[in-house]
Amino acid sequence: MPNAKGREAGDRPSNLSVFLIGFVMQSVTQVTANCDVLSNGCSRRVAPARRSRRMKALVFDAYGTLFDVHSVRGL
Amino acid sequence: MAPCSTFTRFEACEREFPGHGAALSHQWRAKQLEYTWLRSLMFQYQDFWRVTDAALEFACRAKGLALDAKTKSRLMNEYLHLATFPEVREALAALTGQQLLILSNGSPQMLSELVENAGLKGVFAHVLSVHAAKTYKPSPAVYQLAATRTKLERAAIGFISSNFWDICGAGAFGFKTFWINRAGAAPDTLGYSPDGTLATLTGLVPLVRS
Repeated sequence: MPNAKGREAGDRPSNLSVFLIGFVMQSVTQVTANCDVLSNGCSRRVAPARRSRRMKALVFDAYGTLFDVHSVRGL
Repeated sequence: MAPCSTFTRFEACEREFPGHGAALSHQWRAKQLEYTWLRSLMFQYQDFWRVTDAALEFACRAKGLALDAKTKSRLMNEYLHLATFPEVREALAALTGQQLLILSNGSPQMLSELVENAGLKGVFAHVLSVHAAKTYKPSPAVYQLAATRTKLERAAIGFISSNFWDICGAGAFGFKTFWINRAGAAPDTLGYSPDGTLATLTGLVPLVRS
């Protein structure tokens, strides 16, 4: 029986439906990927990291990020 | 590859001023950053070597520690021989194929020596210093140096830092940002959230490869 928009039950899903399903699945995938393994082997939940496919360069800070300015060794 | 120094700046402080190493090291670093922000606001740029020198003088004076020329020279030299964090080499090696850059407050000479002494020469396509902009992070003029050099859209550049204020600056500029939060610190309440928060640089590798 046609619905209000004149579609029959069992019609193929609309483009909007396909988009929404895809969006939800992508979000679920991202949430499950948002764990990071610590040096002690434990994992912890970290903030969501958005996809980075379009990154073409990685720029690093130096002091405190690549190079340790505070660590204590041999004390 | 040149061997990385087995000493840290903390150890050097402790060696020169027994019992004061940790406090002196932290005050030196805090005052160093404070001076970069103040000098930027006052339009009174001095390069990072001079700022670091002044911060060391203040830190010693504030703690009542006598700083002679030789001791000062030895401590300043530590800034050219800092150790990398344990995972850095492996993570950078795994990112081969990406265009990698450094964008730092350090002066060109400091950065050149630091990278070479750490055995990382050749790893980075460009090592950029704020010196070209004559101001310090988080000024947008500094982040513009990376955009100009790479000739990329801002959103195509991923910026990685352990300093949350630096992450905020880069994010405000339009970079994608990844905060390396090794210490589990609380983020500043500046109304900005990074695109990703990672415990170490290792966590960056799968994100870039995806």
